[in-house]
Amino acid sequence: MPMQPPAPVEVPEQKVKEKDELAKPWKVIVLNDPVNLMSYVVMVFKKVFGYDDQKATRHMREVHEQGRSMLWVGEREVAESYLYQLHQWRLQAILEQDD
Amino acid sequence: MREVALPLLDDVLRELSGQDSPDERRYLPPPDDPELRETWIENLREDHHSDLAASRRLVQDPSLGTDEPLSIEPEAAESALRGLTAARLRLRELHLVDMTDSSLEEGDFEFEKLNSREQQGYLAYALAAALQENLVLLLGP
Repeated sequence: MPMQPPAPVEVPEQKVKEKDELAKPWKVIVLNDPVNLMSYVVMVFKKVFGYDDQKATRHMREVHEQGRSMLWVGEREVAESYLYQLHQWRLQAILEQDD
Repeated sequence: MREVALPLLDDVLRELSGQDSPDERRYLPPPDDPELRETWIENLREDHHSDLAASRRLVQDPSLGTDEPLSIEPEAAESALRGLTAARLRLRELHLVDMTDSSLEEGDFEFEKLNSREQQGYLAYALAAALQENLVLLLGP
């Protein structure tokens, strides 16, 4: 008996949209905070993200001068873990989904 | 400075220890995950209390401000650093609320023109910063 090819399944447009949304990467963004010391912020970036001194200092300056700096982009679960660590260190940080 | 700043810093740390959690508005998880929210806040609350306890141990150490060496384990130093940040945020809210961010950041103000509450608050704020600078140096690159 010949095998019938499987009938095409129609995926509702809404589900496709949701899947696309979930697949978009997430950005970890730290916001400026006038209270925290520059040396402290640099140390936290090095500890949490494994940055070298130069990269951590560049991001610290970006936060200081522009009010925010994007520190990492990728999967939501990992982004949440970074966000939690930044909050543990009392830095103001948020997640934003990539456009 | 030590006579004024140290007791005030300790008071602020004690007051924060009596609170349930750090300022939840500042440290929220992404808003579209309500299940995560509870765990997030609960875990931060636990960290918050151990950080404040480490800071208080440091501030109450009799060697602080003397020529005696003060020893602290790296893990306790990290914890104390975070607790001191919480104290500086609270001092900013309680004593330095009328000062602008830039004047505080740049030190662009005349200390003598501050009222007594602000002067005390600023001394404790500066002491916490000095302790943090030392802890960051201690923890190294």
